[in-house]
Amino acid sequence: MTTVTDENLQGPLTVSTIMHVVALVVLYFGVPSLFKPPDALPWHPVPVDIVDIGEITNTRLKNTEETPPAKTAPPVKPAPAPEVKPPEPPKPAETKPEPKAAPEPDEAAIPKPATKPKPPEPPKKEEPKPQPQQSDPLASVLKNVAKMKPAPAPTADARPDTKKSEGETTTGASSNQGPALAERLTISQEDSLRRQIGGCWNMPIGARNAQDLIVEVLIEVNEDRTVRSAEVVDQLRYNTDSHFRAAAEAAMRALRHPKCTPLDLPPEQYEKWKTIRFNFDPRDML
Amino acid sequence: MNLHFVKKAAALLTLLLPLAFSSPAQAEVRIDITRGVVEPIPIAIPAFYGAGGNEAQFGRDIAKVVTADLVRSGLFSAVDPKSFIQDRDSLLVAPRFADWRVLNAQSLVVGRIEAQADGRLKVEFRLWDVFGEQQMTGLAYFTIPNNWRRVAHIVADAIYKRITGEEGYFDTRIVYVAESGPGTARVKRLAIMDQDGENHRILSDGRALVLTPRFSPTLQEITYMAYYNNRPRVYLFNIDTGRQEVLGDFENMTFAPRFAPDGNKVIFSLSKGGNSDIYTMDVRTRKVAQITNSPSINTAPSFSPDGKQITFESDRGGSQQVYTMSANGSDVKRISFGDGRYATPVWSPRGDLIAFTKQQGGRFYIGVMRPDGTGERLLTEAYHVEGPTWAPNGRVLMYFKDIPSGPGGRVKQAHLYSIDLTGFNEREVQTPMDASDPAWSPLIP
Repeated sequence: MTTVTDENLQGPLTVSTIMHVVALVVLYFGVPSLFKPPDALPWHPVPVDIVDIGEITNTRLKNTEETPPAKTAPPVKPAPAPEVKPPEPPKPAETKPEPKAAPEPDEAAIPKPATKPKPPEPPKKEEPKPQPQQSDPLASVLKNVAKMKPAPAPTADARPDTKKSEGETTTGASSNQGPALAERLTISQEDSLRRQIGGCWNMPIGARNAQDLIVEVLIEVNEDRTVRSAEVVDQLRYNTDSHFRAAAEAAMRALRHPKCTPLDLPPEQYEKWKTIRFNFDPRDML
Repeated sequence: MNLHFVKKAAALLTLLLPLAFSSPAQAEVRIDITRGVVEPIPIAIPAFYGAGGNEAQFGRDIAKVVTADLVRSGLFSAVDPKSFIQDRDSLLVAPRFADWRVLNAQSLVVGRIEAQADGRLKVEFRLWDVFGEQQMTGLAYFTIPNNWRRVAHIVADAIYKRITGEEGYFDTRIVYVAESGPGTARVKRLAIMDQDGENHRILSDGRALVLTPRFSPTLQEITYMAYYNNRPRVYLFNIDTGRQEVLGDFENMTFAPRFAPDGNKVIFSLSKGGNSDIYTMDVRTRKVAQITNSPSINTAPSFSPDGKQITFESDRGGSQQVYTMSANGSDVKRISFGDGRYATPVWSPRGDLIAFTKQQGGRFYIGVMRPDGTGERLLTEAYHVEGPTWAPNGRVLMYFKDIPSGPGGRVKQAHLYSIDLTGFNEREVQTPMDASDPAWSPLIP
């Protein structure tokens, strides 16, 4: 009888065992998905730019009044920016036959008939020149009285900051591909140096082809942050092109200017700035 | 076995080689400087050293003229001589750069005058880079004492050229129309002076009305328009001989003359029945060539410095605008497209810009644009400003302004002004009487 009972139990026992095993397996591996498992996500490396922040946070915008225009020649005022109006589509001047129906013979008696129109009456007084207040530091420094007439908007004060930081991060970014992180100056440190040297650099804006006068200078710096040696990289051009030489010398004067000595660098990190490559580029200011 | 070892070594080297070349031991900081300042370069010019009293006086005078030239350019500022630390005797030995650096002088000029046995003066100078502590240039000139002022301008030109890279323009002259008398009986005479206003001289007697004088590149000749017996015609005038002659015996009025860059031709306008066209005439052979042929007004021609192109004004498109064309009159292009009217284009001797007069909204402007018409910039504006002329280095412009004065602004006073092409440093050029229509000479050879 017992055997019968045992035998009777054999079926359920097997089932139970199987169920347990299945339960354990499910516990261990999870419920098998009935659908096709999703493709494995590929490993996309997420680039993270780790930026050192100096102890002192962002350097403050240099007060533009620090470089006052000289009394004799006031060229430090950058003109408000917008480029000259785009020219209207050229009229097909040449193709127009333009039969002058009634040529005025009287005009012939006057020299340069069109060039000397009567000055308007009544004469207006010379209106005081709108003070070209600091408007857009990235704008051309070449003066244009037409641009000055619509005085810069009152928001002009706020604009430089944003504009400037834009400009600087882009220029700063170019140096990001340089040496390894630990060997680099922080962005704030580079900015202070950039701003310092910029304040000593007299740009060759009126020179012929000033946009081509881009000067690269390699300097070695002493531990006391003074310039030990400075060399213009393009020696061939330096020795053959008098305009380039003048621009290069202006760059060298900036690096040796008493106002820019010592260089604005973190004194304790000499290894980082033993040599510096400067690129003086006036294009944005033309 | 041996082969195996070599393979292993090669593999090891392949692994190590890139390491040897990649990581630079020395990191290098790169800084882009895209913003700077625009301010005059401080320059110290002590009186040139002279041993005798006479030489010392020349030394003081020359230093003064050199300083005035450079400061007037707007690109330099003079360091106050009262602040100088180093005395002139020790300066002759060598500059003590620290003494000049504290004064913020970036350049230093040390000069010396010596009277020669033959009565001439030897004027020598050295230009020092104070920050770089080295000599930038050193030159010497011999001259008769009367010529000291010209030598001072030549020294100033040499300094300007060495520091800016551009040719100087101080050893030049200005010819202009000197005006006097009441408005109804205005006397307009030809006058000439050094670019700093010295050595002023009236050239014509005032019987004829003189307009738009222009220098020949050879400097001895001027061309201009004058009314003699109520006939307006183009004349040539020799400064050295005082001889004047009419340029071509045309029946019609000729005006707006200007020399070609080689000095052999004069380009001018000739009016016929309400229209005017542009012609050239060979100064020696008197051969005439017609350049434009358009039923409209074409005038104020000016050659490009290479002589291959001409800029001029025309109303052929309906309004007064500036055009360029090749020297034979083909390939005409309109280049001015802004609002208002554009007139009297003048090609820069540097070739990179064309100056013009613009009239818009009841005001006059002097501006510049590139020869393709881009980059228009207006440098100055006034109730009436006109007649731009370039300094020979193409860096500075001169023009005249009418300034209303007297009751109701009815009396106009005309004065000459100069301005840097950056639009800064506008200065009045002093003349003994009212002045208009200036023309800048080339550098005196």
